[in-house]
Amino acid sequence: MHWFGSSKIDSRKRATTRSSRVAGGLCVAFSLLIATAASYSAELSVSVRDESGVVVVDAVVDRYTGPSVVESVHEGLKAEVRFSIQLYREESGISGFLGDSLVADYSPHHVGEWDPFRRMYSIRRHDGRELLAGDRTAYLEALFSLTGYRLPRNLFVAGRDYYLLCKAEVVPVRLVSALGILSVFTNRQTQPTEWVRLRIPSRFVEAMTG
Amino acid sequence: MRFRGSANASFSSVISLVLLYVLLIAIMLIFSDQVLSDLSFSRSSSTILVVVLAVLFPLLLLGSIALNIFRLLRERRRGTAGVGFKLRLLVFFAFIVLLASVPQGILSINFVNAAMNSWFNSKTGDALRGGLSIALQYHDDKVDILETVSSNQVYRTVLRDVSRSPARTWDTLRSLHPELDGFQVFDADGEELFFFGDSSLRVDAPQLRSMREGQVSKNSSGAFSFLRIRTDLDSAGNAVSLVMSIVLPDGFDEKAGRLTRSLEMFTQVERLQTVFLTAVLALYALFSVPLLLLAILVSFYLSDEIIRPLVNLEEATRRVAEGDFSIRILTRSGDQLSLLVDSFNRMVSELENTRRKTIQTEKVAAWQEIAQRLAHEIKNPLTPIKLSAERLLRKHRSDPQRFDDIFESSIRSIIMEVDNLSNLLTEFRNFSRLPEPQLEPVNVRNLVAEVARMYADTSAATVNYEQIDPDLVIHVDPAQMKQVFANLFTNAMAAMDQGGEIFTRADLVKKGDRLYCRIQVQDTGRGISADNQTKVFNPYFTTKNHGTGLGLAIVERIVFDHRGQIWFESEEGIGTTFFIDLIADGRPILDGLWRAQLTDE
Repeated sequence: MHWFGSSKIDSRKRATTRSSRVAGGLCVAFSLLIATAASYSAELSVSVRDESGVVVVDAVVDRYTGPSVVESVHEGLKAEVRFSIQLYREESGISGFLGDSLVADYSPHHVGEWDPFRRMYSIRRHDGRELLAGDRTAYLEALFSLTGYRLPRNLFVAGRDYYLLCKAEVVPVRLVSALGILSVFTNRQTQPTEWVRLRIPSRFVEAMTG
Repeated sequence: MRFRGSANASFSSVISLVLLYVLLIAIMLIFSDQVLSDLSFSRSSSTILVVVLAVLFPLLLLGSIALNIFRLLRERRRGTAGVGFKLRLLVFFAFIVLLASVPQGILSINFVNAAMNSWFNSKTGDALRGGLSIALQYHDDKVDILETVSSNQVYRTVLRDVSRSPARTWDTLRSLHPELDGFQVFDADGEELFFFGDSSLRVDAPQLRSMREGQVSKNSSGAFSFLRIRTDLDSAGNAVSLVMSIVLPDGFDEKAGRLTRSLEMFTQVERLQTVFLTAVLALYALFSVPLLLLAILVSFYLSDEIIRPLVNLEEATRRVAEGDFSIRILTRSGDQLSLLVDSFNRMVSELENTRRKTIQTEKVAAWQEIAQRLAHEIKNPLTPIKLSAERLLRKHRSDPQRFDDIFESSIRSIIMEVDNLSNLLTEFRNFSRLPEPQLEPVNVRNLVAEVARMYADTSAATVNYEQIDPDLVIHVDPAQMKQVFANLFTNAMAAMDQGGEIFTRADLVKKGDRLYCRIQVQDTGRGISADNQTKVFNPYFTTKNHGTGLGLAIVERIVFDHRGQIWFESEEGIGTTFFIDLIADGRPILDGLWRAQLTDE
């Protein structure tokens, strides 16, 4: 198994704004948005590896300082980490003028919750598997880590250069379906990382297409 | 000419609006069906719908409204008829829509608020938490039983006898804990020795190996769930593994899951109640703003529909007032204003018929009058001519020596009367064949001054034109206008035997949307008697001994040909003032329609 270097990008900072409330529905919304703003941050580490001729992506959210994803699940809520993985093919010449080609776009996500009957954390992963964690460290690790995400071979063409753009969003409280519409007004609770760009080594492409 | 009221355009506009409305409703239905039920905004279809509903649709409607407002302002600048009325209608419609939507919005939001407070109050939260707590308690009790049976020394003493008397051990356990549903004994190699209870709770060797000793695990088998625990102990010198199970009630997991989800939702609602109200407001705006804009757009077309017949009527009335009786208004049958339009069309038709008849009658009467006058005027000189001729003949026969004495005077008399006849016929020809005016810019003061100079040496009266602006220029036929002033001055001077001053002035006046030059010719003569005031413009009417009676008739005709107006004010012993209004705004005064009417008449 070959490991390739990882990349970290500083996340953006958000200014804390003093809460204010003004009469009226829209003013209330505005003040709520301000009230929920805080100086949160999160970083994303991404790496790719060649596993038996298949490119596998691993991503981990680091240094998350947003609203607690542990407290929320103990209140009976669910937390979520949404990953975005975009595979681009580099273009040159006239094609390059229009930008690189988006080959594939994936949005795996992990949902974490507390199971009061088992007295364990439950993490429903992107591949449908449920992981149980007895302590918060294991829970956070499972929730924040996307491991072994395999990119199909047929996405790659020999002799071309590829790179990944990855991003993650930490959602401390995943809204239930009926209240999903409120996400527009509570999006400040969601903490996104910056996009991380990671080049896929040519030898991995050759290994897959060869 | 006919006003159609652009019925086709109106129809297509209505169809467009109906389609727009149907599209809006369809988008809203899709939105409420697909988006409101699960609006995570992660789905691209949801985002597209929201963008269409919240951005594109209002933008499209706003653009249409802006276009209509621009048109309305342009019409207002141009002074198009009915714009003010249309504007009032629009404000009225918009006001009505707002009046209707505001209480509806307040009611909806209050209802949602009340429902939220009612459905998601603290009691509901307590009930949900209590329910979950009971379920947990129940679950924990079962877990405690298994853990107690597994670890408590008293129970372990009982369990150690399992190798010797398994049935008695099971019975003992059941008597102590009737909740136990399954009891399975394995030897050290994982071979099952005994099993009691529900066979569906049976564990095989691999499952046994995966179980951790002393730890309760929860499993499912088909529709039911159960708890079980593995206990390893020494029984009669043999190492055995015991698996004890408790079945949870039917649907326990599903109900517990439902309870958990309900509590999750309640907690979220409780946390986001204020935001929820804001979201309701925003949603209401999302739905109502496009509808409101659509209603305003509809009001544009509705107001157009309402005022179009009125504008057509106004325009048609104006044209009729200007003398165009050929105009008719077309209207759709069943239209609310069709009765009014039909009445108008009938009225114009009758007016046209009456006018034609009147003109015809007037023509006949005028020619009769002219024939009588002409016969009379021609007959007048014929008598002295005949008398002179008969006198010459009689003298020639009876007294040829003295024929020369009367020959010259009689011939002079005949020649004079023939000259009078000739003048009369020339005037008549001039009157009947007045040429078409050749318009050109003319300085009014110069024109009046030029005519006044012709009378300077022959009359005791003088013409004062000091009050006429030296820069005033109008488009008229200078030769014809000279004749107008000459005829007026002649009459004025004839009325002022003792001399005096003929006062003239010219002013610009606005009548309707046109500018006129009003010229006054005022004398201080005898004035016109009340009896004659209605006849002064009649051809061959004269109060002078040698007048032809065509002077004022020609003046009236020239002014009429210039699309002007003439009238007078007169008082006996004080004097007479003639007023002439001539178009002064530089626009062509003889358009095709007017010329056609002149030809007709």
